[in-house]
Amino acid sequence: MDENIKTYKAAVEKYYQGLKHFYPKFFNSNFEGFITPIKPFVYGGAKITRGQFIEEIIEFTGAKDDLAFAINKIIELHQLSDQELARTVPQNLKGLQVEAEKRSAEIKKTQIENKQVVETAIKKQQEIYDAKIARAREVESKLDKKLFVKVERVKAEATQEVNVLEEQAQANGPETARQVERILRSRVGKEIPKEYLDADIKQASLSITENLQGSTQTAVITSLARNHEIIDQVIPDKALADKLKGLTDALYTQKRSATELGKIIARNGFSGKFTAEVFDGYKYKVEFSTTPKEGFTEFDLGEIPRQSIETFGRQRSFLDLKGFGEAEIRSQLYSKASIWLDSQIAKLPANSALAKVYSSKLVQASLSSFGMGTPVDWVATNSFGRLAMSTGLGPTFGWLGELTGTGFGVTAVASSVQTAATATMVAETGGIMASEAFLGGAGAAAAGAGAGATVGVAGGPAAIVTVPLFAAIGAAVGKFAGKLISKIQTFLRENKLTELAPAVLMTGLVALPFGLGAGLGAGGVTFGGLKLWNSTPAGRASFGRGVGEFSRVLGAVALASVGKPILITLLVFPVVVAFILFIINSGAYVVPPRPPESAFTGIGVPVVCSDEKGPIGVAGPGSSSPIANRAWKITYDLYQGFWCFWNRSPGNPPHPDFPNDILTYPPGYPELFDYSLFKTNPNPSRSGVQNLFWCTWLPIKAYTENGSKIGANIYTPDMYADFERRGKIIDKTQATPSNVKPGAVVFFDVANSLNRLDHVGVIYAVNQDGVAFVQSNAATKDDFIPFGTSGLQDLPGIEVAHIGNP
Amino acid sequence: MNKRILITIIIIISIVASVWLFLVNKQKLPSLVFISSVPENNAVFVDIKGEIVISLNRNIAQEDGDALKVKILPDEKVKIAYQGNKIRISPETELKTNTKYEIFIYHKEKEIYKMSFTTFPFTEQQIVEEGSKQTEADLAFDEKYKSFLTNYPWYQSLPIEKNEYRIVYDFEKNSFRIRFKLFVQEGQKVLLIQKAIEDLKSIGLREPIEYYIIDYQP
Repeated sequence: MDENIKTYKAAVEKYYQGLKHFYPKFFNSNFEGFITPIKPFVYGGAKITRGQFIEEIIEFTGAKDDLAFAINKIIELHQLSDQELARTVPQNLKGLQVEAEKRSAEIKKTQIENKQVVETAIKKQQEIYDAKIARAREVESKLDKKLFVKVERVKAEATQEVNVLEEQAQANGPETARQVERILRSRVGKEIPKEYLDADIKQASLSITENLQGSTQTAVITSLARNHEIIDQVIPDKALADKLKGLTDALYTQKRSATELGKIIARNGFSGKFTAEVFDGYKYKVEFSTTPKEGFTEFDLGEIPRQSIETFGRQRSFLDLKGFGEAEIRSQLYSKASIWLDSQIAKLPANSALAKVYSSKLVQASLSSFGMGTPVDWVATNSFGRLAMSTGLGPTFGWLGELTGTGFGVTAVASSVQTAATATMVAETGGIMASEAFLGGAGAAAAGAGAGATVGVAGGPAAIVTVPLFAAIGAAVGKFAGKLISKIQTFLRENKLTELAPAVLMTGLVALPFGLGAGLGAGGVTFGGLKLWNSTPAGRASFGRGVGEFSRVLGAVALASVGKPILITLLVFPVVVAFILFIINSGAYVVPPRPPESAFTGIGVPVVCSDEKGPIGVAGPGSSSPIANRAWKITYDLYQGFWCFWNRSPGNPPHPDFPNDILTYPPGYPELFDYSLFKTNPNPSRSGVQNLFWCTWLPIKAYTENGSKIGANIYTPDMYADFERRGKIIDKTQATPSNVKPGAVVFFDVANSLNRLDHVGVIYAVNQDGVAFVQSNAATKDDFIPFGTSGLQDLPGIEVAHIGNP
Repeated sequence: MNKRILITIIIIISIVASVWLFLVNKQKLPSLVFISSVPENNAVFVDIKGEIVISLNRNIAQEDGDALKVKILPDEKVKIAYQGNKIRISPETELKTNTKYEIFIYHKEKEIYKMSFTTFPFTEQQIVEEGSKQTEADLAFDEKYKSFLTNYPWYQSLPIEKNEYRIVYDFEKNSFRIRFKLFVQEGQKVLLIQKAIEDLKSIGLREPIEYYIIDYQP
């Protein structure tokens, strides 16, 4: 057969296999019907023709010519004889080439247009930040008078303040509470036992109320809002004083509704006795003075604009983006988000409710669709899929495909099947958010609009001006957390509800009201809410709103570029991410203390043993190298095995001896561990163990699974010889940030009598200052090697000998 | 017509019809189409003792069996069995380690499927020998590594990454390196250095802390 025909036939056959993969029933039973134009076939419960079918797919996917072209070629292929093909192939190949060139030109044009729009957006946003910072500095310079305040927490009677709060509850509380509860339940999913779910909700309510009622600073703000004359006393500038009054009023209003929300949930979740003991038993007595007095502390109004300046500065750091292409910017934003999010998640105990939420299929699939977390590997199975993958949108389409049951030509290698319930929930949430976003006038900029009115967080400019005020009170938030938690513990113990304690203590939802507010309205928070926050959840939400101005433009660009699927995803995505971000940032979760169990290996210092997966210090997976990402994932999943080193890779299902093992990133390698020996002797002699996940398995697996060359060598010197033979070795003295690649193998030689290379790791990230690597069969999962005056530096006692690039 | 003749004609017609129906049905058997295989196409680290199972779209009929051919390259002695819709290929001896095998399935002389896989790279003997040596090497590394961590207990908390700066430890200078990641004014720099020192204190360092600065390099 002519080589052209062969190539062409193979290419089209791939299209066919791809479609077959996505429509197995259809292709197995109706292929004849499919390729016969005049014969309708059953699809989706109705008889349609081939043309209608193609149109439906094209309309839904927006794939336009690409998919139609593929399908038509498949049909032609199966209808033509080889002789006929020989006649038509050259023409078709030429057509393919023309199509490719045409598409390439269109993409280039769009990229240039996007670049211009994004550059303008960034410039504009920087101007806005400059103006805001200048204004904040002006305010700061004028706030030179001091205000002194005394706050007493006293046993409450039926105060006017409580009565006001009760009125607010009657106004809009229950409806909001129900909505929050529903979304929270959906997020947690069915994998979490009901009692834990309830505990999460209860914890949310505790935290909300604590956050807003228990803060001294909040009490001050409340009083300021109700005693405007105090502001007049300390701020001579009338305009400025009026502005501050407005701010305190806005804050006070928001606080009231959120407080009520918390109280309502608490009352629903706990008994009246609990609520009374924990929440309603106290009030705050606030006194002001313009001069220092005993028992009074300074309330620094100047802190408000200072926080504002800092906040805007941090927001602007998000604009430090290179490249300026829309895709690059989006990728960098997600990368920043991803790094931050993963580092926070890694701190969680593996069996905490929050960690379970995070590792749930829904959340992982959502994150994955944004390149933030990759629970599954996505592959293209047809031409549209390849197009999607090449634009970086493959996971998004794969995820949407799974949710909707529609094949986009992108599929998960590992299992990521969404349950019907989850799909329904996402669709429902997407619908709610879509309506919120559009009602808020945000349109495509659900990615950035601040319309989170659900729990009383005001949208629009007013909310933006309250940013500094929220941030200013942030330092005081959490002060009472310790006390409150101990009080809850006591209550649970006394009332024999100790089974709720773990979930209550491990999950903190301090920021729930703000998180939902931001999530429902402000996708910007998913870009920006990421770095703000050592302070308060409120500050984080407001940051999201601030960045929203920028994100709105970016969102519009994204919409113009990729259309409806992205919009849908953006609408669904923020809730999930905002939810996680805000929970984690709340700082209210408590890692239960684990008594460390020591195992002495006979060498060096004791290693702390655990049956949990230890975290990796370097956040991932978000490397540009698939090898590095796979190495990170494998390392992430490692448990401690022999000598309490990280050398046991779990399986799915888990090994009977370790039923609680969790494999997050399949495949695992349980076959590479001697479980029977481990059971009888977890600390065998050096020569006594012949099967574990040696350090060399890490590069072997990471390379092989990504189709990269690597010799099959368990022994480090042999692995080095393989890299050297292939000319891939860089001596450590020649290593630079530009020639060391993520995914490279780093070879170590320790100072001892053996005089040979001893150990390897896989480099995950490279920057100007050094390289971060991951490793197996070692006391830690990762470490960092700095660059020095000539290449990579040695670690004391450990020579960093060579780098083997992929 | 004679009754016996009539019965004979009916019997003949029945036989002819049965044969015809049999032939027609035989022709109507749908083509055999590949569905899946274990191991999958292009699989690696395949067990050298393992069985290869190829699933087809329908049960394999008697006449299919005659028309089916399986070829394995490099050549190995294998047993082939048809079971339902599956073709089971069992090597009579262990496959070669670290070898790429190709399997071709033909039906009526037409290739209906082709796959390849690569076997596990190590023999048991290799694992015993290389594994023991690597265990010893890994433990030698860990001996030094833990000693290093004991002497530098804060090292695992490095690098410290902030928006404005990054802190690493320079073993050549025995000093911390604070690199600014963005341009900062002199006044702001002092504040940031203070902040960096606080960061180092938070991971267990005590003052005085040796450090040096690298300004922002775009």
